[in-house]
Amino acid sequence: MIENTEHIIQQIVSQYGTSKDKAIPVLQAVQKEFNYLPDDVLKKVCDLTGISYSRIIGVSTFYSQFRFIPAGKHLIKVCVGTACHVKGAMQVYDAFSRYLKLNPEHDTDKDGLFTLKQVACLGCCTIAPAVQIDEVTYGKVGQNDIAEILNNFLSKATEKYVEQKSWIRNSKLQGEIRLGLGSCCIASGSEDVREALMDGLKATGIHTQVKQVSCVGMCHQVPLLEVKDKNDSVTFYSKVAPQDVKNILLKHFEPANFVDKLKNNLFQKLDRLYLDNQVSSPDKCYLDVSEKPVQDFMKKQVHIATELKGVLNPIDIDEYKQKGGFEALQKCLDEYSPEEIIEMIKQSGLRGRGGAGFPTGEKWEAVYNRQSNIKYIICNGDEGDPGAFMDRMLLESFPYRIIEGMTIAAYATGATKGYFYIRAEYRLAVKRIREALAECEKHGFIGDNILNSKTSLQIEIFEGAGAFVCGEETALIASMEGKRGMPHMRPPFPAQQGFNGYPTLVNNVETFANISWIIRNGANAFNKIGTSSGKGTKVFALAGKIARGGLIEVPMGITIREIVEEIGGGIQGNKKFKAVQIGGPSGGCIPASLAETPVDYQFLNEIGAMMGSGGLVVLDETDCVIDIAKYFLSFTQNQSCGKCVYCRVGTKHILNILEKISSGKANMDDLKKLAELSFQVKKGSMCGLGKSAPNPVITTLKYFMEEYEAHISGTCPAKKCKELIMYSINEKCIGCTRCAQYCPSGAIEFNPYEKHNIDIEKCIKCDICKQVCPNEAVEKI
Amino acid sequence: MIRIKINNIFIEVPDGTMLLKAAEQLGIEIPTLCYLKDFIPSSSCMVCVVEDKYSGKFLPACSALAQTGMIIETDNDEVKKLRKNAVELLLSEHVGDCEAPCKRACPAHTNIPAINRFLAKGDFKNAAKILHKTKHGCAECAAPCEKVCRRKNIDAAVSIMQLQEFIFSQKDFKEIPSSSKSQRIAKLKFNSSYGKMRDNEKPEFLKEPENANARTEPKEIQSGFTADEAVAEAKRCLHCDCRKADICKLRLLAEKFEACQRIFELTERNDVSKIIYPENVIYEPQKCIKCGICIQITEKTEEIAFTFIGRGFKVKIGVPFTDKISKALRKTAKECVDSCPTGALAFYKS
Ligand SMILES: Cc1cc2nc3c(=O)[nH]c(=O)nc-3n(C[C@H](O)[C@H](O)[C@H](O)COP(=O)(O)O)c2cc1C
Ligand code: SF4
Ligand code: SF4
Ligand code: SF4
Ligand code: SF4
Ligand code: SF4
Ligand code: FES
Ligand code: FES
Ligand code: FES
Repeated sequence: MIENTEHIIQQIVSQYGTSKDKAIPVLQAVQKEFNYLPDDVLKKVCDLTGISYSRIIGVSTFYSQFRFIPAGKHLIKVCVGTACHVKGAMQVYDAFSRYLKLNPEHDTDKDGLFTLKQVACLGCCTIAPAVQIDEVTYGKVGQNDIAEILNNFLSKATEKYVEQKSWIRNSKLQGEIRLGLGSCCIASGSEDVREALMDGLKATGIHTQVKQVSCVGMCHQVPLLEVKDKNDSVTFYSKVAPQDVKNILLKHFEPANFVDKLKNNLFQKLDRLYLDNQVSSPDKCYLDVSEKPVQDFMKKQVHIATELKGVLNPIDIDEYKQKGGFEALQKCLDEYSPEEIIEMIKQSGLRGRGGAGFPTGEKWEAVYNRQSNIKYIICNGDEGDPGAFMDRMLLESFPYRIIEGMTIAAYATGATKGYFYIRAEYRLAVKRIREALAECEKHGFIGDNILNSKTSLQIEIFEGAGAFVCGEETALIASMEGKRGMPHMRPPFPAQQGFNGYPTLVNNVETFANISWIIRNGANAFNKIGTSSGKGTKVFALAGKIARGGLIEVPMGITIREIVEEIGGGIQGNKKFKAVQIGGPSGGCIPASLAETPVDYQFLNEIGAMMGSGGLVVLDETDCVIDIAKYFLSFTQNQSCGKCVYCRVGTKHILNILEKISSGKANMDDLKKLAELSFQVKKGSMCGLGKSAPNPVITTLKYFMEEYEAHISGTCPAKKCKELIMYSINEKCIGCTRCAQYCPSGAIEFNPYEKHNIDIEKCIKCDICKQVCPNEAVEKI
Repeated sequence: MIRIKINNIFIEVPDGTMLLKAAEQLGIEIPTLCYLKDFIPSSSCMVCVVEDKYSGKFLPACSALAQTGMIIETDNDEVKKLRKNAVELLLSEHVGDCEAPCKRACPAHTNIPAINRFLAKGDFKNAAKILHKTKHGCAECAAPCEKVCRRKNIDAAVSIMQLQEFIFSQKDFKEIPSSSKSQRIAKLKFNSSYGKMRDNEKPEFLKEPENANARTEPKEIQSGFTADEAVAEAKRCLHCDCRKADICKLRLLAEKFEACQRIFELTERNDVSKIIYPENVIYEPQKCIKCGICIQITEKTEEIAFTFIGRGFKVKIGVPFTDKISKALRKTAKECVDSCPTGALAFYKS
């Protein structure tokens, strides 16, 4: 081994320590250095730490983040989460794969430049299909954009990125410009808009403040610019492009000695920068907030966890304080005993937002009642549901609120050590929380003797390593202990024997985000909202075939129809509303006919779905429910920890039968078997993953039986299942040759001005021809 | 103390008692497979499942703790079906022959591979004993055993008939049984079998037989095999039968539940592989039920312990780093082999 290698490993080990529970962070650091995990490096790690050979292999092969063959220089992650799936993510994946000439055995191109990977939800579902290359996210990726994206990325990667400091001068500030910088926003180009803004301000000499704000929830409108001029009147601009910025600025602000600035060329530079793009008028992006759609999007919402959304600068602690932040904490420490707080939370009726909906107050009480001088508290931000991004947004946008909630919980339960468990893909969330924790520490909101009380709480971040099952609390704890993330039977519950064997409170991000509001406004204000089985609100990630996707917070009991039609503005492109998939892989498919179902724990359970974590993917008539069921089953099947037989093997059989159905090879007996096995897997699995994995199948069987039957007789009504459709060109063809140019498999012969034909032998059913045809001449039959 | 009801009988047990134990105290037997006393239950096979009528949940009795108010039923129809399906799911990914094809084909169910093993060691006496038990002569038989012999897939079938003739001809073989009285002795009806041998599996099967050569032809055709020739030919046997065919818990349960291996079928069966470990242990991963008992055993004392590798459907048991195989199972071979509930870990050359 090269000496240097040994040195690097030594450094990593000295940073994280040698104890075996540090296996995951050590492996993450090692992989970051070496880009994969070579055998000799792993052995060296073991030699230098207390980690055994067996453990390092057991652990590293469990989590999908770790790889054992070298990766390319850049990692392309194609999101195949639910929202992206319904928008054709697999086709995008295949297109990348073709472009880079990859095959199932090789995920890296021959030059070693790019490695292609599928991931479940990048947390930008509203701009699906999403693709992330290293740290750059691309949204609404089409099959034909591959070359362009890779070129754009490579030019970005070589560009030297200079961190732009906001431009400060002593003269009086005019107004304020707010720009969302959540993950969706950044992926839709808000970082570029921010750069253009800074350039524009510099060029024009306009002196105003550019404020980064939290996700405004209107992710379908991003990049969204909110301009508050010196008279405090507010104008919104949606879907802003960098070239729009200059005119927007000039419309609202007076440039300082504008002529001078013009002369010194800076402004020209600005124009040059965007030369290839058309410079547009500000009206193009003008978004009238008094306009009905925007009002509708906002009207039915109630903001508790997302209070002050789009207003707060996520990491400005002073602003958070100014707007009532940490008041609740202060009040708790000064005025309430732990018992009183627990009582208040119980009274509020708050139930866990992580999926199962366990009453939060009772959980706190259980931890409080345990006698132990060490207790832990964990904020579960693993969010593995492949089509949900609420927790990501909350962590990115309201880090202080979550920390405040956690600190109150720690005081109420007696915990003194806390952890944020955050999913590996959520880079920005990790960064924000890290910054926020440092600020809190500085201001005395965490650490020893919080606000001069006797309460102390240290908080650390633990980054997940890619395993959906680690959202399950016992598996989560196992992974924090440096083990394979396999759940165990409860009891013992974490509240009894959790992290390192001590009582541990595990709550979801959103659960914590509700706490300070409840303390400030009182339990009754909270339990007035909602239904008998669900109090308060729920944050949903609304995505799929919806006109206005985004993050919404709605009162419990709101109906699905209200969400889809009123808030979401109905289905995109005049298609018919078919169903919603609620609760992700654990949830179910609710047909349009049940749209009046109120959204709360009980009602959803009754119709076979589940609140789950809050993914809400809307399906239209072009979505095939068997395809959806298959999609979820392949996800859960792939994420099963492999411990118990019903989940490990049972889900595999369910998936096999679904595949048989979607390829038209199944018979009625298979349907019967599918239904039976689904119920058996539900009963016989040990943890929630297996127990809920069949839900998408069970609900689709229940509500869409005729669609299953259609597949058995050989047709896919939604024309989605590849094996059951064929592409063909009809009389509308104008002979433009586009399809022939784009077809990746040469199935269409180049035939200018004549009707084109598809050679079905060669056709790989990639759908490209249909997408590029200007005259809708390509159809699926 | 915690008060629960099992099959309509009340019982009080201390906090932290497993349902399995509580049931045991009432003399109620619950089948288990992946559970082994004194080990941390792995809750993986779900054969021990019971229903709690109070919560409506189905729980693995080996690891679920008794909790106030439980109303446990240990053998209602749903429980029985879950158990049976659990075994069937395990069998659906299981690849192995409980009994060798030759034995299954033999009208008298002669334990041919066992005979071959004795012959290979030159122990003609014990070979004869087995043959004697079957009360069957091969003279008039059409030798279906040779037709199904797995060695045929590699080169040519083992000369089973000639080997039997050789035993009959030995002087310590007292009496040649008459074929008319042949009787089948089959203890267990259940048989896992995996169909055709694949090309890529041939090298795996050849890891065991000491003789990789083609069929041995007796020099003197009329007088049959000489002793040396018989030994050589017996050494060609692939040892298709499972080494734990009579004690394998999975097979015994399959028999008990009348499970069917083909009720759930995978589109693609796993490939057979055989891994030779030190201390004469052979590991056949396709027979493993992933209970993790061997991991728990080796973790305690071995320098190189077993571990789970991978996750989900693809999870395997193995040692980390292939170059470390020689360091595994140094101290715990016997314990592991004895504790492994199936034929996955066994001694070879026994
Ligand atoms: C397979 C599986 C995945 C889960 N994923 C998450 C998750 O991503 N985030 C989460 O907060 N809870 C998740 N949970 C639920 C947790 O086990 C736990 O109930 C929750 O974190 C408790 O917090 P709460 O009471 O605030 O909801 C998951 C459960 C299962 C079975
Ligand atoms: S249900 Fe699935 S994920 Fe849960 S313990 Fe069993 S195998 Fe693991
Ligand atoms: S793209 Fe459409 S119109 Fe053009 S040649 Fe193909 S089928 Fe005809
Ligand atoms: S392990 Fe058991 S079930 Fe499998 S082949 Fe051997 S005896 Fe049969
Ligand atoms: S190889 Fe041996 S055990 Fe296998 S079928 Fe042939 S004789 Fe029987
Ligand atoms: S080899 Fe045997 S003991 Fe080890 S996990 Fe497999 S079945 Fe269990
Ligand atoms: S970003 Fe693709 S599903 Fe969420
Ligand atoms: S992340 Fe930008 S509005 Fe949601
Ligand atoms: S014996 Fe209880 S799960 Fe296997």
